[in-house]
Amino acid sequence: MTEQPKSTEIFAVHVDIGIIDAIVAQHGKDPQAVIAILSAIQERYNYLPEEALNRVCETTHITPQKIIGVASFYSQFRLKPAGRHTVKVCIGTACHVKGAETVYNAFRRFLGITDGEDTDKEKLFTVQKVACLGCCMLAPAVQIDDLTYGFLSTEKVPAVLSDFLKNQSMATEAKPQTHSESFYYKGEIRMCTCSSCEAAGAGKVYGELVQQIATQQLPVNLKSVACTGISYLAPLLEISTGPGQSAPKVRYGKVTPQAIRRILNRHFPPLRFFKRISHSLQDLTEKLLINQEQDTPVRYLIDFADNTNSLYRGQQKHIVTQYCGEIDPLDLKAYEEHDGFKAFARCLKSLTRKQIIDCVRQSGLRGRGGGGFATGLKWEIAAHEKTTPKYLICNGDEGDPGAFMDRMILESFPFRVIEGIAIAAYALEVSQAFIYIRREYPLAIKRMEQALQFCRANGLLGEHIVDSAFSLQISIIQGAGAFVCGEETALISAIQGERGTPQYKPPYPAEQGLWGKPTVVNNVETLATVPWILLHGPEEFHTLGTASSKGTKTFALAGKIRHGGLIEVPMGITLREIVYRIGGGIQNNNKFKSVQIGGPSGGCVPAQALDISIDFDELCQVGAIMGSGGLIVLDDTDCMVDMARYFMQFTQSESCGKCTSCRIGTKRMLEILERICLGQGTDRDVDELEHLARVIKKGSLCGLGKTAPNPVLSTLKYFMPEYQAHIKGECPAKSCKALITYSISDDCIGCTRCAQNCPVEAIASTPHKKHTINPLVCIRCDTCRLVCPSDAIRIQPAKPVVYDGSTPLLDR
Amino acid sequence: MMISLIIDGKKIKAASGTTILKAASKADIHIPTLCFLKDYPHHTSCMMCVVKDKSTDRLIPACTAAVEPGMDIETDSQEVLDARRTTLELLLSEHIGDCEAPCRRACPTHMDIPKMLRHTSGNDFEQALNTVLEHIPLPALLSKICPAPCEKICRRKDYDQPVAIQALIRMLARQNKEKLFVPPRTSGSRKKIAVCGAGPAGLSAAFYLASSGNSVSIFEKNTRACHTICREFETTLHITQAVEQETARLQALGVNFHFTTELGKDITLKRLLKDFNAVIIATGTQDPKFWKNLRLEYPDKDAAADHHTYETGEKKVFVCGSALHPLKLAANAVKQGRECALSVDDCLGTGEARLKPRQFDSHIGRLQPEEIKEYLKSASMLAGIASVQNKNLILTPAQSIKQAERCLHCDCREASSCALRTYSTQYQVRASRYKSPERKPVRIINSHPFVVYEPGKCIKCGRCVRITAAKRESLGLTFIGRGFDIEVGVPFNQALSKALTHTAKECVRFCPTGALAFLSQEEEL
Repeated sequence: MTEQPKSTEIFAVHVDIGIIDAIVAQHGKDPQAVIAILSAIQERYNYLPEEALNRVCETTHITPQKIIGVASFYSQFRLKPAGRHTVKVCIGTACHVKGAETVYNAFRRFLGITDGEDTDKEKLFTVQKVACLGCCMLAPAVQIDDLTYGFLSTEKVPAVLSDFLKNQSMATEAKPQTHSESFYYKGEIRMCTCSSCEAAGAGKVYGELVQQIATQQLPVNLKSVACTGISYLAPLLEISTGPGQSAPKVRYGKVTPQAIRRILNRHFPPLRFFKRISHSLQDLTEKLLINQEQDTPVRYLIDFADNTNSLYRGQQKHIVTQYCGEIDPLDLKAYEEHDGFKAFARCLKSLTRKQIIDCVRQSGLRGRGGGGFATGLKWEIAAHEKTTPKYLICNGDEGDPGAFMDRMILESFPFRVIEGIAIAAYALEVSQAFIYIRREYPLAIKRMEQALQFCRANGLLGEHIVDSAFSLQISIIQGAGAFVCGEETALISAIQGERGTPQYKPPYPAEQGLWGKPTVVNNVETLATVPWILLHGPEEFHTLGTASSKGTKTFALAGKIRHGGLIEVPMGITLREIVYRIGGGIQNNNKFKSVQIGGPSGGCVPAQALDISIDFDELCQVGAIMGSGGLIVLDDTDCMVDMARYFMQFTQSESCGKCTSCRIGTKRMLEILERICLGQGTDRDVDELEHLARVIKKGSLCGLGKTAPNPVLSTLKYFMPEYQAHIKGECPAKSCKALITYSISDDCIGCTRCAQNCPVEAIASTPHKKHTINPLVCIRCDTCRLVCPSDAIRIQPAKPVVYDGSTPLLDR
Repeated sequence: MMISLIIDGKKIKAASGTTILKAASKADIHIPTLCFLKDYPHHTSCMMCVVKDKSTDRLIPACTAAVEPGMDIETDSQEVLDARRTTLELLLSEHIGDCEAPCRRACPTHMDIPKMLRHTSGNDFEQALNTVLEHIPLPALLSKICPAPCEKICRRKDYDQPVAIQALIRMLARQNKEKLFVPPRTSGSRKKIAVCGAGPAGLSAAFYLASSGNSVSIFEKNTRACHTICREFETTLHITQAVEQETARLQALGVNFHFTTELGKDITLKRLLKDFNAVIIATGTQDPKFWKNLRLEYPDKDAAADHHTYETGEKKVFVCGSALHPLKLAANAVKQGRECALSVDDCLGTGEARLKPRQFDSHIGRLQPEEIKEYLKSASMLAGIASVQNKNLILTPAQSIKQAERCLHCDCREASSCALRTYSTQYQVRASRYKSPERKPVRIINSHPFVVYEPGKCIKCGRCVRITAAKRESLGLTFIGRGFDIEVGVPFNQALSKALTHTAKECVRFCPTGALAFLSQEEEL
C-alpha cells in the first residue's frame, strides 16, 4: 500500500537463497533475530530485496507483519535498491550551522539526482542525510562508504567525489609494524585514529607514517592512542623524542601526509649524510608537485607546531577520559598497568554486592544519558526485584546531533566501559549484559568487539571470572538507525527485535524490562565512571561538583568555537568558563549569541545566562537540559528561529509515530516554523507553537516527545524579538535564505571566481569588470562569498520570496 | 491488594494492576478512547484517554496507567479536555475524507442523497423513497422545480457528467404514485397543531408533525396548495399533478386541509391558539401590517422568530419559510418546515425547543483528477444523462438502477458509527486549526471482496494490526514506516484480500473510523 518497490526493477540484484539461509542459520529463527538478519541482508545487497525477506519469513518464526514493520522502522534499512556507494551527509547541529544543507544540495545537484530520488542515474552514489557522524569539529562532514571528509563546501564536492573514487581501491587500512623490543626506540609518536580524527585525514597520515618509518628505518615507536579530544587540531601527532612519558613532547596539529617526511626528519634525522641530501631533494620535488596540484579537500598544508602542554586541557578533570593521549585504546596490558580492572578485582574479592551499590549511591552519580536519574537508586530498585535472570544494558545509542561523547569513550576507552559493565553486572547479579551501539559508529563497534575478545581471552569475561563464582557474558547489539531507541523502553523493544517504540512507564525497566525481567539500562559514560568511583571511593567523587550534580561530565564542544572537541569538566564549572577559557572564545571574532545544550531535547542558553553552572537542575531552570552533553556554540550569524526549526525537523523525523501529539504535533510545529523562516508567519503562529509545545510535552509517552518542544520554548523565551522580526519579513542573523539576497559590491576586482564556482550560473561576469548576481536564479548557497578573494559579496535583507517550488530555499 | 484513589472527587477502591480506565468505568465515569481495544495488548498511542493525575501534575493515558495509591485523577478538567481537543484537531489535520458527500452538503434540505442512491442501485425503491422523505416530504414537487445544487457539485461531474440525482427522485416519487407511499406514523403526543399556509414550508411542517403522530390542520387562503409555485411554473412544467400528489400524501397521513381560509381575515390567531396546542405561520412573504394585525412582535428587520427554533415571542406560535425571511429556493422552505416541526414537537414534549448541535463534518476540499479515479474504482462507468436541464425526463426503473450505480460513494461509509466524528462533535473541534497546505492524495484500496481501505482515514491506532497478529493472519496488516509518515498496510504490497481472511469483519467492526469499511455498508449493517 505504501510504495514498496518491486524487486523487478532493472538494477535490482539477484538474490541467492543459499546466502539468505546461511544468514538465518547464523542468527537463529527466533523473532528477536529479525534485526540482525535484516542487517546481514542489507550488508550483502545494500538493500532488502523482497525475495530475501520472503525467504526469511518462510524459514523462520518471523512473520511478514513483523519483518516489514521492523524493516520500515529503522532508517538503516532500505526497501529500495541503492547505488554502489552511499554518501552520508551529516546534518548534525555543528554541520547544520556550517552549511550542511547546502552541501547536501550540492551533492544532489552535482550527481543530477532528481526530486523524489536519492540515487543518481548511473546507480553509483546514493545520497542520504545522517543525523550525526560525530565529527562536529570538522563540520560540515560527509561519509562516503567508510571514508569521511571534513570541512566541506559546495565547490569542493566534485573534488571529494573524484578523490573518493581515486582512493577507493587504495583505502586499505595501514597496519602498524609490530616491534618486539621497545628499548630499540629513540622516541614515540602517539596518534589517535578515532572517527573524528579519521574524518580529518588521520588514516592517510597514519599510513604515511607507517610507510616513512618503514622505508627510512627510523627508530620510532608509532602508537595509536585514546583520543585527546582536541578535535579542532586533528589529526594531532604527539612526538616524544626520548623513551617514556617524561620525555620532551612536541605536538603537531592539522598534519597532512605531505608534511610527514619533514616532521619525521626534524626529530629523527636519517643517519647518513648522503641519505639526508637525497631526502631533501625528494622533498623539494614533492613540494613543487604539490603546489601544482589542486588543493584536495582533506589535505591542509598547515604545519602547525605547538609544544605548550596546555592547549585546552588545563581546566579539565579526566575521570572517564583518564590517560587520554597516553595509552593505546586496545592495549589491555597498558590499561591494567594504569589501574585497569583493579576496581573490578576489588569488587570480586572484598566487596559485597550491597557495598558496591551503596558506594555508587553515596557518590551521587546520576545517569549521563540525559535524564539524570540517580544511578545508585536505579541499581537498588533492580537489586530488590526477586525475578531472575536480570539484565544489564549499556546504552551506546547516542544519536543527538552534535554529541559524540559516547562514541569517543567507546573508541578510546573500551576497557573502561567493559570494567564498568562488569562491576555493575556483579553488583546486580547479572550474567548477561548487552552493549547497544549505533551502527553509524563502525569503529566503536570494531574496537569494542576486539576489546571484548581480549577480555575473554584473559579471563576477565566468561565463566568463573578470576576463579570467582561470577560469570558474565557481554554481547554487542548494533542499532539499526533510530534515535528514539536511546530511550530505554524503546531500546528494549529494539533488542527484542521489535519496532523501537517506547512503552508507558511504570513499570520501569528496572522492575520489568527486557523479556519482562528486571533490566538496568545505563549510559556508556555512566558505566565508564563507575570503576573510578570504586577505585577512589565515593567521597572523592562526591567532592567534585555541586550539591545535586556530582563528579565530572564530558561534553562535545563544537559550533562557532575556536577550540572544539571532547572535554571533560567537573560539574559546577560555568558555561562562560567552558566557552571562553576551554573553548577559547568565538571563531572569526564574531559575537557570541547562545549555547545550545542538550541537542534536540535541550535549549538555547543566551548570553545573559552564561554564568550558570553545569548542574542538572540549574540547566533545567534556564530551559535547557544536561542531556547527553552536546554543546554547540552559536554566534550572531546563527538564526535562532532556524535553530528551532532545525531541531524540530530532527525530532519530527525521528519521532517513532506512536503518540498522536508527537507524531502529528511535531510535524505541525515544524510547518509553522518553516513558514516563519520563509517570512510567512503570523502572530497567531507563535501562539499555536506555544500551545502545541505544551500539548506535546504533556501528551507524549517518552523522553523524545516530552522534550521535543524544548528548543522552540527556549528560543521563544530568550529570542522572541527574532521571531517577531521574521514575522515582519526580516532575519536579523541574515541566515534564512528566503529573507536575504546576495549582491556584489564595488570591492569586486572582476576575477570571475564567483561565477566559475556558482552552481546555478546566477552570476554574470566579464573579466576585470564588476560582476552581478541574478537574485531570481541565486539559491543563496554562499559559495560566492566563500570563494571571493576581495570580500565583495554582500548579504542583504530581502522581501520574503513567494516560494514557487523551483529552488530549494528550505531543505527537508 | 486493593488500592484507594480518587477519580473526579469520588473515592474509589480498585485491585492493584487495574487500569484507571477500568476503575473509572466501574464508577460510571466515562473516558473516551480510540486505540484501546479490550482483550488485546495496549498500544497507548492515541492519547484520547488522557486524564490528569493531580498528585503528580501529569497527564497519563488511562487505558494503560495502572491505579496507584494516592492518585487524584481528573477526567474532565479544562486541561484534560483541551489536550483531547488538540489530539482530535491533530488527527483531523491529516484526515483525508469527507464525512458527508458534497451533494448532501449542497442540498438545502440536507437529504442523504448517497444513501438514496445506494438503495436505488440495490433495487430497493421503497427504502430509497423513505430516505428521500426523511428530509424532503415533497419529492414529486421538488424534483421538478429545484435547481439541484446537488448535481452542480457532484464529484462525478469532474470526470464526466454528474449523477442524475433529480431524475432519480422524480422516478422514485412517481414510482409509488398508484400505491402512495406513506411513512409509518409514530405514536406521538397526538397534539393538535394548526399550520397556516400550504406552501412548501407549511406542507413540510405538516408532514413531519403528522408523521410523528400529531393531528394537523392546514389553513390556506387559496383554493389549492402551493398556489404561488403553481402559478410560476405551471406553463412550463405542468406541476399541478405533482402538487396534487403531495396533497394526497399528506391527506393519507391524516392532515386536514382548509382552503380559502386566510389567517387574520377568515380566522384569527387568538382563535387558533384556543383550538390548537401550537400554531405555525408559514404564509409566505408578508408586510409589517400583517404582523401588526396579528399582534406579533416583528422585532428586527427580518426576524419574527428565532432562526434555529422558529419560536416567536408569543408562546406556542412558530414562524417558518418566507414568512420569516424571503427564500429563493423551495427546498429551503422545506428544510425550515421540517426543522420547525421538530422544534414544535420538542416544545410540546419537553416544553423547550432544543438546539441540535451540528454534527461534525470533515472536508477533503478540492480533488485532483487522479483522486477522482480512486473513487471511480467501484462505480459504474456508464455515461450520465442531463437531468437538471430536462425537468420532464422520466427514467425507467432499470435505467434508474444503472444511473444510481454511477455514484462515487464519496461520503464516508462509517459516517454514523465513526468514533472520531462522534468525539469531534462532542469536543467541538476546529478541524482546520492545524490543516497543512500539503495533503496526501486520496487512496481507496478495494482489493478485497467486501472490505474497502482508505489509508487517509486511518488514525494509526493499530487495532487491526493487533487483531490480525493475535488471530494469526498469515499476512495481516502492519505498521509501515516511522513517525509522521507511518501507515498501516499489507506486507509485501499484497492484496487486501490476502491480508484479511478470517479477521475482515472483526477489523472493520473495531476500526474506530471509516478507514476500514464494508464495501456496501447498507447491506452489511
